[in-house]
Amino acid sequence: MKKNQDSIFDLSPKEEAVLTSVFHRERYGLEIIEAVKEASGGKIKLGFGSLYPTLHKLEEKGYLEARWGDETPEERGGARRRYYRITGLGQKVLAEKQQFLNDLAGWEPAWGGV
Amino acid sequence: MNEKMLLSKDQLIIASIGIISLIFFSFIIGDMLGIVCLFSNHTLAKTLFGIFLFFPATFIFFVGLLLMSYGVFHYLCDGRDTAPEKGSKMILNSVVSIFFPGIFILVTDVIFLKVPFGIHLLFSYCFLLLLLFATQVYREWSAIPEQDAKARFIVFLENIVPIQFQEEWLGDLQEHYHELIKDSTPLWKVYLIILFTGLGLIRSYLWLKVYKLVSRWMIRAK
Repeated sequence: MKKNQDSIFDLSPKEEAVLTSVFHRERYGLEIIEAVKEASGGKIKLGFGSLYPTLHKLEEKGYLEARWGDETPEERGGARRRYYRITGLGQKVLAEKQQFLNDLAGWEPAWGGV
Repeated sequence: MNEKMLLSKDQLIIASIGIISLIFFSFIIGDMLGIVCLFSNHTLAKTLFGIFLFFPATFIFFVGLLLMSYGVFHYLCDGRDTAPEKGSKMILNSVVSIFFPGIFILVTDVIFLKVPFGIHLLFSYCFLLLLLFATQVYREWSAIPEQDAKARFIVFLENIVPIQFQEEWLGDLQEHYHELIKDSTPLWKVYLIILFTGLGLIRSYLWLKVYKLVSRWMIRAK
């Protein structure tokens, strides 16, 4: 139980954005950058310098898993894409974090306010 | 690779990474010094202390210049017909790009800011330009086949980014480049974006190296 409580606070805003971007479907690095940029109306720009360390950390924590794509597009110089998808643990942590934020927003003091 | 080269490709990579690290170290020292000098009442003693702190930076700067001169000299001695012309152009480019804007910044900062901070900016600016030209010299040394500027830069990155990350990272970079071209982004902007994205990849790699190192230390400590 303690581990779960820790893990929701262990999630940085950047990690949360990346996890959310792969919540419904798997995506590759460049697609994640574009998803975050488009969804935030261009306000959040995730750079290559921070994306890969974030993906690495999330993979290490067990919130993401990766696989190599089969296609070798010409515009990538024949290189394969590496797709990331959220794991069950990742979904659980993200749901817990969102639940916590909702609970926090709706919290009222037991003594009826100051 | 050119057979005339005194250093092997691996040695060049190590030297380049070493110089880049030292440049960043100098940036940090220079920044700290600049901020201290700018916000405190500087005396002769403080200025002398500042110059003393700048000594390592000066040393690196001259080593960098020596390396670049060596590269140009090597290039001039190359057997190819176009080598002397390209070598001369490189010297001219480096002189103009390193010294003139640097002196301009020094003069403007001396007028508007404080002298030590101006010197700091001069060095910082020179190092940045030196880095760009070191990249150019490195490419010539490595005898990378003539391709467009994007491909040359990606080839340069291939020499830095480890093989296990190349397919994913450089593939994404190339795809990003094609997308920018498809969106009719101005070419100068494309090159600028690709340059900063490439530097971001180097940052990712350095982060991963440090992260692994720290993780190993933590495990050992436990």
